[in-house]
Amino acid sequence: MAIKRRLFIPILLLACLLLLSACGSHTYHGTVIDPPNDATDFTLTAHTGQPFRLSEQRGKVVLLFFGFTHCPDVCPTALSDMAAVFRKLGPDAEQIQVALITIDPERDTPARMEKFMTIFNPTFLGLSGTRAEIEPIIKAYGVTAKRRDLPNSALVYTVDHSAFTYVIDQNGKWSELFNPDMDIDAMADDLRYIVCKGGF
Amino acid sequence: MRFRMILAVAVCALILAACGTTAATTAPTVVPTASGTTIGDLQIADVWSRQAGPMPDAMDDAKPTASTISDAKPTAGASSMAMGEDTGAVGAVYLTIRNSGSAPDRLIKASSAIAKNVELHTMLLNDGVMEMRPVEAIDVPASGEVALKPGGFHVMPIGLNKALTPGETFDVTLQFEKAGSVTVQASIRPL
Repeated sequence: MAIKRRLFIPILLLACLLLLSACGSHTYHGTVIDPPNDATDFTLTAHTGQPFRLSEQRGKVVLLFFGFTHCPDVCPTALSDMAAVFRKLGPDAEQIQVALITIDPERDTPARMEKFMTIFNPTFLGLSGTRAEIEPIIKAYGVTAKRRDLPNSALVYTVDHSAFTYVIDQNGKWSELFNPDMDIDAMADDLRYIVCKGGF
Repeated sequence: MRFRMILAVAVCALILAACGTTAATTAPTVVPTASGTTIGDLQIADVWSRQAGPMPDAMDDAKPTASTISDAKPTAGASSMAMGEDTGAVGAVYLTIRNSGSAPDRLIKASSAIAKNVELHTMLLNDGVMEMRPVEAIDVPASGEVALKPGGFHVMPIGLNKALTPGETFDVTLQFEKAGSVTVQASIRPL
């Protein structure tokens, strides 16, 4: 009885703390953008044929990738990792929209993007547009995307590109970058927290 | 005494002949083991692949743009390449090469019926920027190993003839500078 009484107050305190921070305290695993930027709005064409406007995604966490479908290694790795993160998150994943913006619009038609994206997860969207539509987005997000001709390769050319994932929260704030070598658990951990908290 | 001499010479000749033939000029000696495929001093293990791009019929969607194709390597697939810059579906093959010998070797070529072209590539990460580059060869150090894995070296089939279905396998022939050629089976993993 004495033990129980002695334990009562600490347990009460712990319960209060838990209620105060229902999402738990959190240290982000990626590169935190402090203060967060307003994510520059844009409209592109999703592989579904529907227009995709970033500002219309408010209320969802948007994970923005920049890549291309002839990228054999890094882009599929990033997207299959994200598909694994989605499996880990379960229902929380419904609050997240993954979108890949092509940096190779000449080759990545919406039809090709559809075939690429749906391999990973049916909800992932591939966004394409004209070079004139995509260039300003690349610039606004500080993405490196340089075309390199490959005279000795059947690929003809490749595009050197930044391999970060842009995390844009439910309020349209670009608040974190996932580094290319981040592991699945770390990404799932950060996303679960952002979804729980309703923002970064 | 003379007989002994002849015997010694004969034995020497046999030994010389045994070492003198190179795998490149004879049929590859393939010894599959539980842990991989062996050719000479090299052991190739953990050969796997995955689809890296759209399905092959994506080529039909490519807009014909008659440019830069002349720079591409002429291949059996040149006719479909003439459609445009779209190179069809691509994949990546990963594997580990162990070298138990005291001399280094090099992987100089890979080929497979799965695709029109097969190339050797590497990935470099420079300040967060990923760069993919074809390489002429992949060095296999003496008494060491080289791993072809995501984010680094890979064998890249370009212009897949069929989709890479998880659970299935396909053959890839690897050609080494010293050890010669060997055919290994890549098992396709899900994305």
